[in-house]
Amino acid sequence: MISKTEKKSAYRWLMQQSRSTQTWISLTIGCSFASGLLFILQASLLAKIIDKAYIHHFSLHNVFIPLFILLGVIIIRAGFSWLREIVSFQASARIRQTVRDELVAHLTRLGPVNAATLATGAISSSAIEHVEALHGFFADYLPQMALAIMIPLAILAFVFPVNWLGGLILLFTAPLIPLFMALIGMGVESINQQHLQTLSRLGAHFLDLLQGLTTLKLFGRSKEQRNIISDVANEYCNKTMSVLRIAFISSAVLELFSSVAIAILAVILGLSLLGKVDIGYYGQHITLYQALFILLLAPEFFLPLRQLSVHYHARAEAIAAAHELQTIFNLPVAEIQSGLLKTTDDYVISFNEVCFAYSKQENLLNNLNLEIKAGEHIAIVGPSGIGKTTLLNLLAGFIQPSSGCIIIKDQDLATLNLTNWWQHIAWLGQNPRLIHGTLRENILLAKPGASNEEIMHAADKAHVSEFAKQLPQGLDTLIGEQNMGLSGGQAQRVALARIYLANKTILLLDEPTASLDTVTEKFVLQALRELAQNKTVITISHRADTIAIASKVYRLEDGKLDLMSNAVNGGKHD
Amino acid sequence: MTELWPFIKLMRSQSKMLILGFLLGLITLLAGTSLLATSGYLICGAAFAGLTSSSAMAFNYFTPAACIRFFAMVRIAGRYGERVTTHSATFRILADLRSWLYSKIEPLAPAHLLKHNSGDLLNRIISDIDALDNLYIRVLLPFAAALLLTLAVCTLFYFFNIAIAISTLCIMLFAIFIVPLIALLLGRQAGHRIIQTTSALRTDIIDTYHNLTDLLLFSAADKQLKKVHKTQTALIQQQKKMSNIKGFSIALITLLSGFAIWLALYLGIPFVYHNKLNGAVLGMIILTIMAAFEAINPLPIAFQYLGKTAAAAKRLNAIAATKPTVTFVAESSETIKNVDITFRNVNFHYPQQAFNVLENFNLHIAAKEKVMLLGPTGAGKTTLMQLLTRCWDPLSGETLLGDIPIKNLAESDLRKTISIVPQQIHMFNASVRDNLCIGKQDADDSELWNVLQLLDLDNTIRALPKQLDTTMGEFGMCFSGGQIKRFAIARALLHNAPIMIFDEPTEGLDDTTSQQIWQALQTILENKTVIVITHQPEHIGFFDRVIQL
Repeated sequence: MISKTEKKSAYRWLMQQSRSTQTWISLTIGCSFASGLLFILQASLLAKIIDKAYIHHFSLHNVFIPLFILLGVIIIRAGFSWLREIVSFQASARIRQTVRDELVAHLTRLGPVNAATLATGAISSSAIEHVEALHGFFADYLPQMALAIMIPLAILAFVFPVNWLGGLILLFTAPLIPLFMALIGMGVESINQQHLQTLSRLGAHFLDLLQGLTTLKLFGRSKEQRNIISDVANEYCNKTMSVLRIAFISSAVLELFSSVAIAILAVILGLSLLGKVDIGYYGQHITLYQALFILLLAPEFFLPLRQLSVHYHARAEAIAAAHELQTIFNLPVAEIQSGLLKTTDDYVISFNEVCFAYSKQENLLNNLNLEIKAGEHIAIVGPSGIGKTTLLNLLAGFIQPSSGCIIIKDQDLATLNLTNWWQHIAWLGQNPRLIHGTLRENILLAKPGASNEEIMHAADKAHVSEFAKQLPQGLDTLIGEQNMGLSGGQAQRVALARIYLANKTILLLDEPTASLDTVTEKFVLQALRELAQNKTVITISHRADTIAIASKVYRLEDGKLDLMSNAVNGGKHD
Repeated sequence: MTELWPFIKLMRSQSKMLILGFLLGLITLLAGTSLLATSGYLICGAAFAGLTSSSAMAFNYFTPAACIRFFAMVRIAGRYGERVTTHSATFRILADLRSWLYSKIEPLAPAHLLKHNSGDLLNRIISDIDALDNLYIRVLLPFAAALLLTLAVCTLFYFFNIAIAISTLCIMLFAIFIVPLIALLLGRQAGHRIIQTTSALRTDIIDTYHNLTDLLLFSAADKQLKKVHKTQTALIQQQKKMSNIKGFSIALITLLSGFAIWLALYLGIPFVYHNKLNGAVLGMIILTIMAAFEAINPLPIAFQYLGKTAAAAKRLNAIAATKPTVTFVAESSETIKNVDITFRNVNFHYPQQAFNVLENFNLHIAAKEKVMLLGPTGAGKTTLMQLLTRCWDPLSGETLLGDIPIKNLAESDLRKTISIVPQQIHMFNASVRDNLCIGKQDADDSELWNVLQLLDLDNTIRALPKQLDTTMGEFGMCFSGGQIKRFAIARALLHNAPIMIFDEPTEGLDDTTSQQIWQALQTILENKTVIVITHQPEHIGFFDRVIQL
């Protein structure tokens, strides 16, 4: 559940966004209002024609002119309702586009570590579903808020000069408009929230079940779940319905006011026409034209309010979506620094008393010191979760130390422009992700302008060519969702080819062989050894073979590093 | 649209509630229409009678006035009742739908589910089910109600004037059938494209997210942002087309409702002029048409999105129609007496593969033997275990437990015999207790604590305020990967089957913990057949045999 203050802040955010498309929102209101005014004209023409034909006994010939004006009005009104859709789409289109671009850009500014606090599913639904959910707020809800006041007022302005009693009956309900709105607000919002909540809870339960189906099946527990699904759904349904039964009263009240107003108007106007009620008119006695005109307008008087209650769910949905989007946008982004790295060959990287803690947890790294000379190969070992990868992330600038600093020769990493710093760094993780595209496109990512020779060289070196040859389209084979079609080892070799092509000076290797079998591991290590010449390399691994390329091995424990061995061939850790 | 049939049939289980809801909806519409119709009749009649004082005295306004009050009240009560019944019925239909779909998917697991394993696909199944909501509440019931209302209204008109009745009927039927059809046809292509572009956009965005490290380090982030921008611009263009169609159908309905009124006037006035039709009735007719169109107005938009609903239905049907790869016999041919495992001349490859993973494979594992299956990824270690648990069946050859071919065993008997710790572990969004009890339904607390202690998890759980009742959070997120692994082992131990399979049991565990766990397991596993799948030989001393694949 979203708290009240969160809702308010989400609403404020939405209103801020609306400023950029104020023109389109105004145009939407304009189209609908014009359509509303045309309806008043249509009602007047209709009343006049019936009056003439019935009371004054005119022939068809005599009412030809109003009849054809009526036809014109009907056509123009249809045109306006079309136009409204076109215009209101524009009102939301630009906002959605900007928000989505901004969201993805924000992810890149957050960097891989901070962005990892979000689940893939959350990103996916925020960027698609939540951004789409903003549409109704700008295209329907905001314009309707204005129209729910403008159209009833316009109708009153026409009814009063005709018959003040009729006007008064409508006006009597007009002060109730704010009341209506509050009712709509309370009722519809809770209806929608309940409805959506039930759906999403049921959805989540079902999703959990499907994801764990194999587990249930292997323990022989999958068949009984069918009944549990119904039970859970019925339980949710009963709870939800008990709330909805009350919430629906608000929509019944809305119906009540419009029905009662029409009923009262019809009876009073009827009695006036019969002369049994003798007030409401100015000078001349009330005519059929006047009475019918008012009666025809009565449903239209309440229509904008009923539409508002329909669009109110767009508001609730947009606020929930805006809240989700805000949680992403509110993740803090490090300021962009302007310092450029002065030297690229003769440097020493030193960690000085570096501390780091993930939010609200104990220090993972505690006054850690480390010195790495240019061209040195070091390895860091230690149990999982001890902070090894954190160390690499700090060096890459994806996260910042909570105290202490990282110095490159004489420049503090915190003052460096990261885009500039990243030009020197390459990273090989244990489960490389590839982008949706061909093998070639994936390798090219590292150096967009690379020539075919360069690509082939990198592919050869990383042993990509070997398996690419067996693929139907070689390097131009498409890789599906989640590296589909490639084994973990093959994906790792593609990632390696990228690093070969990029040819950076500092290599960060995070368990580069953890998911590989011994044969593939041999390939990858051999390639890494070649690549590592004249480069600074920091390797994290459990495996003896992998850390063997390091000249120094450190053990990370209690947030500090201990030098374990200083031999060319490294040492085993146990 | 035939893909919607199975889902329309699902309505049967809630037929009473739905019919009630439908009737209440229809009554609401009829009352609303009658309210305006009677009002129109009252005013026109009163105006005519009011022309002379004698006729004014004679005019019976009591009956119409009473009717008006009655209709107003019916409309209010009807609307309330309709909303309560249809919502409740829809919730229950969606519940039926879920359990129906579950019963279809359950036999497919895990062979076919592997294909659908990506979270996105499962997510899509969920949103597909929710999309069917549209079918019942916005399409079927309103459509039927609008049609019946039209027939009722035109039948009424028929008693006053045939020409008006026919013209109105034609226009209203056109509005009910043809306009939604046009919206549906026009919207189908655009809708299809929107679905495709949306999924392309999703891929682009998730790609960006998963590859952030590389995109940033290779200075390729800007290029990727441009790609996202381009894809979403295409999406907006397609949506614009869709909203244009929506505008067109709304305009068409507005035009038709206006034209129906206009035509009624055009046809009616000469009859009134020749005193063949009461002018008050003409007034009533006009107001009736206006009110009746309120039921038709929302139809085209609902139908425009029916394409989306139909696409959702099609995907669900495709899943439901999938034939399970493996079917089990209802009862075992004989009881399992010994648990020797034999693979005899087994050939197997997955459907998308061209070459056999296992070729004329033979293996015998004696009961209580401890075996390590070693080999590089893709050598068929996990496949072998999938054949043993009948996630798949071999293409030729057979697998036996003792001397019974496992395909002669009922599913429950096979499951009782084998416990497995899979490579990919799923923890349910439920309590620690519930998650463990999947292994053994009636396990008591002391049993749970025992096994937790064995895996060095007891202190962790005792430290939690709700202990065994702690919810494991989505995907077991409250616990570390190593802890989840240990929970999975605990679950498998509780299952207490004579054969235990561990698929990469120590991956993700640090050396000390892994050592500890092996120590603890040794005594427990003594009387069981143990098969460990790994690509890293560890704790070799524990095993009787190492099989290289």
